[in-house]
Amino acid sequence: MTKISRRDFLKVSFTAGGALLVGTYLEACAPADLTDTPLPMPTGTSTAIPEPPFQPNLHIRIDTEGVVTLIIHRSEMGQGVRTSLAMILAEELEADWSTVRIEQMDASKGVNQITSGSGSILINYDRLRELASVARRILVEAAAQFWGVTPEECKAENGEVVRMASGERVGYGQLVAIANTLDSKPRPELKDPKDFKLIGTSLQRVDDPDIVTGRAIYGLDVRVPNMLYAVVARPPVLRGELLEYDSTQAESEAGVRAVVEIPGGVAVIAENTWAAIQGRAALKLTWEDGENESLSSEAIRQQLVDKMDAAIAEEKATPLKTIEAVYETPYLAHAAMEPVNCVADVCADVCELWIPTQNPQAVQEFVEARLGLPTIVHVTLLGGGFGRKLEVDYALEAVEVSKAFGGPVQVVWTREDDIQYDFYRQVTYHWMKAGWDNDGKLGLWRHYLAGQGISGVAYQAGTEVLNEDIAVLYDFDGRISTSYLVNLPVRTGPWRGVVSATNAFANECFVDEVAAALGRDPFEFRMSSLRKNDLLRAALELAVEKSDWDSPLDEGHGRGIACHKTYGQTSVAMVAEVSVKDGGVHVHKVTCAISCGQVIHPDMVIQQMEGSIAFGLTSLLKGEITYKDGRVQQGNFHDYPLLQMSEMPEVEVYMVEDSRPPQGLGEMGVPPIVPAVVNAIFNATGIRIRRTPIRPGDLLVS
Amino acid sequence: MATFILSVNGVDHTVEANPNMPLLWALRDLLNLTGTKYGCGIGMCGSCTVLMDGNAVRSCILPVSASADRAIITIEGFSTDGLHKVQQAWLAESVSQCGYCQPGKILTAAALLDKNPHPTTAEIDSAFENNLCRCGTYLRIRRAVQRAAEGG
Ligand code: FES
Ligand code: FES
Repeated sequence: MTKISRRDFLKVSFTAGGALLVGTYLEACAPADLTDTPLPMPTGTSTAIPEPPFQPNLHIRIDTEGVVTLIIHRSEMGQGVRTSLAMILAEELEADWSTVRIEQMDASKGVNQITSGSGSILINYDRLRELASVARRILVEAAAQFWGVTPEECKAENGEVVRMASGERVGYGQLVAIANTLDSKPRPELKDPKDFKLIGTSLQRVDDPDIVTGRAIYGLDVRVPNMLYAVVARPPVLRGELLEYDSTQAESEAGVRAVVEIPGGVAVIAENTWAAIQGRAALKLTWEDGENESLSSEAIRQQLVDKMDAAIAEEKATPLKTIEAVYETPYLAHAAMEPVNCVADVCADVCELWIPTQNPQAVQEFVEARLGLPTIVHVTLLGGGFGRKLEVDYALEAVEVSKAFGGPVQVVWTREDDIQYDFYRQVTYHWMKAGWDNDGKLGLWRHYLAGQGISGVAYQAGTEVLNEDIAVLYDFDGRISTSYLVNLPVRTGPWRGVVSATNAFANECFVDEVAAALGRDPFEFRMSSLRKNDLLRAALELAVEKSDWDSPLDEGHGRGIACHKTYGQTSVAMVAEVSVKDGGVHVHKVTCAISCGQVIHPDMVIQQMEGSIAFGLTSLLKGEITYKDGRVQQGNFHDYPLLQMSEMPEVEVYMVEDSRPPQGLGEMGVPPIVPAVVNAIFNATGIRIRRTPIRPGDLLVS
Repeated sequence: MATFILSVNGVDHTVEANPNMPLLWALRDLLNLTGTKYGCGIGMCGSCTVLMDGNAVRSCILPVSASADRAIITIEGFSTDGLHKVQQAWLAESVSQCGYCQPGKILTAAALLDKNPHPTTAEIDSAFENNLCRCGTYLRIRRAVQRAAEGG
């Protein structure tokens, strides 16, 4: 008798009938009817022992029924990566897309799994094509052996191998047994892109059917046997510490099962989330506020100003005509619709996690280091990530709660927790100066940036990240761009577009200021100053053409243009049309042109531009994170609002002809949208917005 | 603690709960219907929207005590096959990005179309006020509602 342990049960429930994998079929996956064509079995294979699947690498598994499972190692957070990576694999594998299944890879030591920097396709395109093409070639060899012909006489097509002379076909499932006996290692032989059948088409996204029926499983939807729910009370003042607590009342709340102290806080564990939240509210907590007890946004800003003043003091005088301006951005929260959360089950000999993470390997590494236990990390769907879910804090915390309590717990972060204990987009303070001679030729360009690097735990960074993408794209003479790092205690992390978003705001708005000071058209000025960058020029030209840049505008309307080449990969230009009335701005339309190399899925390009535009507009039109007395002053959508449907502009997206391999997309629309709108506001009103978000009164003409 | 009968997706469930517990948590944690999402808990985002007697309501601010003996429909019970015209429109327009907010959006759309089969853009926008999508799928939501209004 084998006793089924709880862990075995979990394995079964999460791979066979279980929540995480349920419903990942592309379609109800009716196995091909193989019963009337009995499989010819290679000698030595007994029908009694099931043939193991053919699994040539980490990403592909084919079972004897012909089910092709594509195992995706990057995290799905809305960017469509489970679909696009699967399309790349299926294309070169010649899989039958209608029967392909998608599976999410656990944290693994075999392949880089970090989903960041808009890099999933860029980094994996060649690699996955090669892996899939090798698998396809092994299947072709297996079929050749099956028929007793040479591989050259066969070709793979739509989940089968065809014997070209006779037209006979054999399904991949029937070839598994032979493929498993082959030890050949064929070289990859990539398809000619003109033969692509999947790449370049807008297939239905693999998770869509589950999303519209509520079956999609995000981190908060994980349920494991005996799981309880927890919320954690954390120090209200940045980096404060717990002095003492009284949990008597909390423990008497109905449904509360335990209160445990963990490093950094007190966890209330209950039978349901609501009881845990009620229990937390009933805790009596005494905190040591520590050295940040008087931290304020004003004081933080003053540190940036002081740093900048010291840098500017070194500037030499110039005979050129000059203008100067300061641009500023605040801390911003990620505010994904799904707050961070994690299910942890720490046992004596192993730890198991279910977590919506962009960074499963870091989660595994940090948890293993903390516990000294082997750790299994299952990655769920992410209800948005935007960089927040690169961090490991919420995994480590859940592990501490499970360990202290002694059982599986889901640590739920309320919206307030998610907003107040985020790793924010860093504050930035940009000093800009430009100078030109009597002919209007630029001879001086300064972009000095004072700000904070990324201070995250797992996602390491520092000055280079502060600096990245700071250089202006135009060929002005006398360009100097430098950043000055200010050490601040606030937790910061990558936020969709990272510093490209803040740097493009300063660069592209100030370029507009220079064009205006010189009496030049903002588009024409950009083109005449962009000598080398052909794809960016093409994007600008396309956006201008499609937006009808020179056409007359309605009264009170204005048009603005901006562009950016993010992470050296993808060039995006945007033209925004706005109107300003009674101190408020309305963004009517954004025309977007993008140069992103080979397009895997055209509709996803459009989705990512729409999403980036909404994300960027929120940063311009909505809230900010501020500190007072060491505390974050915002907590939920009433004081940290997001863009609403009625505020979403019409968006048109056009793609520039670009023969490069696929480049990143997920963040690339964020940097140009804010300056495009700010420049349009200037065009409409003559008012320059130099600090985001726009505040009440900024647009009132005095 | 008190006992309530919740009628969810046509099935009566007896739940033991604090009368103040929002319906959201009763659905998610007591009945394991996780298709209804938590986004804010204060009625500001619409992720938790369910249908109650045909109206779109925000389950995060609706106590269980006010939900008893009402006909509650969640995304799981909205259609047996996922083929309701609103869901079909959602697929046809490829609305979803992360998808987390979409169950609430779909039920909001269904309730809107039930009362107003041919809403204008302004009427759609107003039905979706404080119905937040951080992924920015608003244009497609609007198009999907219009598509469903035209019959799918
Ligand atoms: S969770 Fe109910 S409105 Fe946001
Ligand atoms: S689709 Fe991600 S929040 Fe709406």
